[in-house]
Amino acid sequence: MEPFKNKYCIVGVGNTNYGTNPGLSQVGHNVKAIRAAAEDAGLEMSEVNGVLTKAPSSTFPMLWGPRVSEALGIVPKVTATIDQAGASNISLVMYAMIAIELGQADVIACVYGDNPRTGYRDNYKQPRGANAFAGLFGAPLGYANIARRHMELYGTTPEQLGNVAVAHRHHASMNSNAHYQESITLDDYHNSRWIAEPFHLLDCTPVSDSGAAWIITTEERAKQLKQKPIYIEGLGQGNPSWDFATRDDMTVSGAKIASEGVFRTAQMNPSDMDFCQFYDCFTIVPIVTLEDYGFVNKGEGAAFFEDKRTWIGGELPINTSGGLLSETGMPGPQLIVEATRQLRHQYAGTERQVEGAEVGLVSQQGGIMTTHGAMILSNQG
Amino acid sequence: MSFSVSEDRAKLLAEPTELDQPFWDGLAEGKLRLQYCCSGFQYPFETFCFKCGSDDVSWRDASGEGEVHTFVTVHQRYHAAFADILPYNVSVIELDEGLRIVSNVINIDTDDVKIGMRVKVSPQPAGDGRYALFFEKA
Repeated sequence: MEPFKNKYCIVGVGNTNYGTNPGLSQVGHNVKAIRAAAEDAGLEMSEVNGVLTKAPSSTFPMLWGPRVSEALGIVPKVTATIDQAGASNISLVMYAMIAIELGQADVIACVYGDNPRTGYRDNYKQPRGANAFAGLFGAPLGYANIARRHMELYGTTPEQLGNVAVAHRHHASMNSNAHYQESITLDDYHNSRWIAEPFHLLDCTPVSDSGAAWIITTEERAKQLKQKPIYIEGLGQGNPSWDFATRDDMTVSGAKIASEGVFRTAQMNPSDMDFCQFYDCFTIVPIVTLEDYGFVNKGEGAAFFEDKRTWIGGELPINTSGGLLSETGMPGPQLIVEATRQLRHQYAGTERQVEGAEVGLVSQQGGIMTTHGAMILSNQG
Repeated sequence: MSFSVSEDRAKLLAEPTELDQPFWDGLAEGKLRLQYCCSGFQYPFETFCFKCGSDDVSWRDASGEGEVHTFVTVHQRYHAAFADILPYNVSVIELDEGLRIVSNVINIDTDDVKIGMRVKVSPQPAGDGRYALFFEKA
């Protein structure tokens, strides 16, 4: 894979209030996030000529792109909804770049928004296929099976899972828009109720109302806009298997395959990353992700989360806004928004800023480690 | 510690289809009958082979033995049909033939389930003369 021929940039990001937000509909979260991103970029709504969406998980409506566009009062040239569950968000970026490259549109808004906390959320606990009779409901049970296997193979401990929850909550404690901002200790982690052993409640992402958007355009156009352009340097994708139980090694995620694409297109290595924003729907996931991208050897991911090495100010800050575990249970877009803000140095002068950050890695994941998206962003061009 | 399938849970059991009737017939005989083609046993069931694409898929009895590949102990009340048996075990069973199936290890204290534990198929009555798939310690 060659580096990208032309450069594309994230020029605007926006989000709604994360957490419990009964005043905003599903459409509302999408519209408000895109309007905030356009405002951030210094774009008029009429200049946005593409709208790409991931369908809200809670109801999975059809034709969501046109629905959101109409509520934005625009008639875009391009709309599409991509389904790779959580991994969709990076595929929206890929589709946006293709659409611009092929001359179909030049300012494209990517968005996700949903209100499962105050609205409908039954989709989250649906049984999965023939597994219903066995009592396998929802995503936590699938991921807990993976965590147990990882603990057996590599000696990963409950304390090490807890470290991930504590670290991400620490970052959320500096984030006034995070769903959960109160710092937690390992004791709090151990005392939180069991969901499915080995997972406590604090191993799991909450259900949150949220919306977030990011706007993509060409480098040329980006340079005329309000914000420092954030460059899309690399993309990768991996789709190891549909069913977690049938995967050869269920402790290996799509990040293993996606890492090849993302580091080759960016022509970079893990050591070039100043921070990571990892999809962290459950505590085991950033551990596995760190291993599968090659930051550490397989089985050594959990140890990396010890001694505050992943805290801002540490060796490799991870999930600097609190991630899915604490900022919002929204499936992924918050990580793209946060990476962009870190690379703009938007938190400069506060403890939230990763000092001197130039390059960051974002991962997104769908299903029970079913599908994976990777993206490297930089502020260098 | 004798296990039985509650009426509510039996309602979650998938209805047999023309495709998978041999599987249900096998359970009623105490056996794990699965699809078989070029690459060996296949699960879940389809009208064709996942590997070679052939529609000529046959049925064979697997050994019904294997080991616990991984497992969880569920405490959260996700569904009313499981409310009375919390906490319950959900295990991924790796059959000796190499396939993995999500099921439950029954007639055991959930704390005694371990990865690598040998198990064998143990179909249980689930009403209307039907049998459902479970495993127990071998």
